[in-house]
Amino acid sequence: MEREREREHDDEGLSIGSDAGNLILLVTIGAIIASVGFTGFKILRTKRPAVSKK
Amino acid sequence: MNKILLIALFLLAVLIPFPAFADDDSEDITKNLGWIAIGCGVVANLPFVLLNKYRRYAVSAGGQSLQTARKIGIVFKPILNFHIMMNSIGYFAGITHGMLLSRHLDSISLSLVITMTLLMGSGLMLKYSSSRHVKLFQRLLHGQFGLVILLITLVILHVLTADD
Repeated sequence: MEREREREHDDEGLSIGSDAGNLILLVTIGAIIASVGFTGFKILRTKRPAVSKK
Repeated sequence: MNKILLIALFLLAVLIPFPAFADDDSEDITKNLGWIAIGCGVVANLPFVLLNKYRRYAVSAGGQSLQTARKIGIVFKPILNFHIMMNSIGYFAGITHGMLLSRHLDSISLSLVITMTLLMGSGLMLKYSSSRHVKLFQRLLHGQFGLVILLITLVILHVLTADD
């Protein structure tokens, strides 16, 4: 019984809803949002070059 | 003729189908399948990435390297097709593998599905979209270093935690 509970606890390590699992998902979604945002920023920056003031 | 026969025999020896299952009780088989998948990924992507980098370098450097890049340009299309073919096979094989073993779904697998789908989608839009703006956005997104690192990390983590 004790061992079974221990094994269940071990299985929770990376399962969805656990702390480590949520962290991995958050990092993934954060990295994707950052990549998409950075790509958009890069395009906007190259399309609108800074106008130098005379 | 003999050379062709030798190459055919060698390829046959390497590519002989052998049944192996990712939910096998043997930990070695599971991990070996993962490393084989990683090897296929390296073969599919590394030549294409290197060729692309060299072409960009040659265009900026000019001179002799530009002529070499023009010669290499002949093989660009076949390597691009090989890259698309291998990654499409890998993507659909990965999705099927995920569906068959969905009862073992964990956060790494889910993150892997999200990242793979994003990269596959951007690749498809890059190839089939006719809009110049969409193409430009997808080209930049498809080659994002952060996404590539994320995908590699997730694949390696997925293989390492395969026995859990």
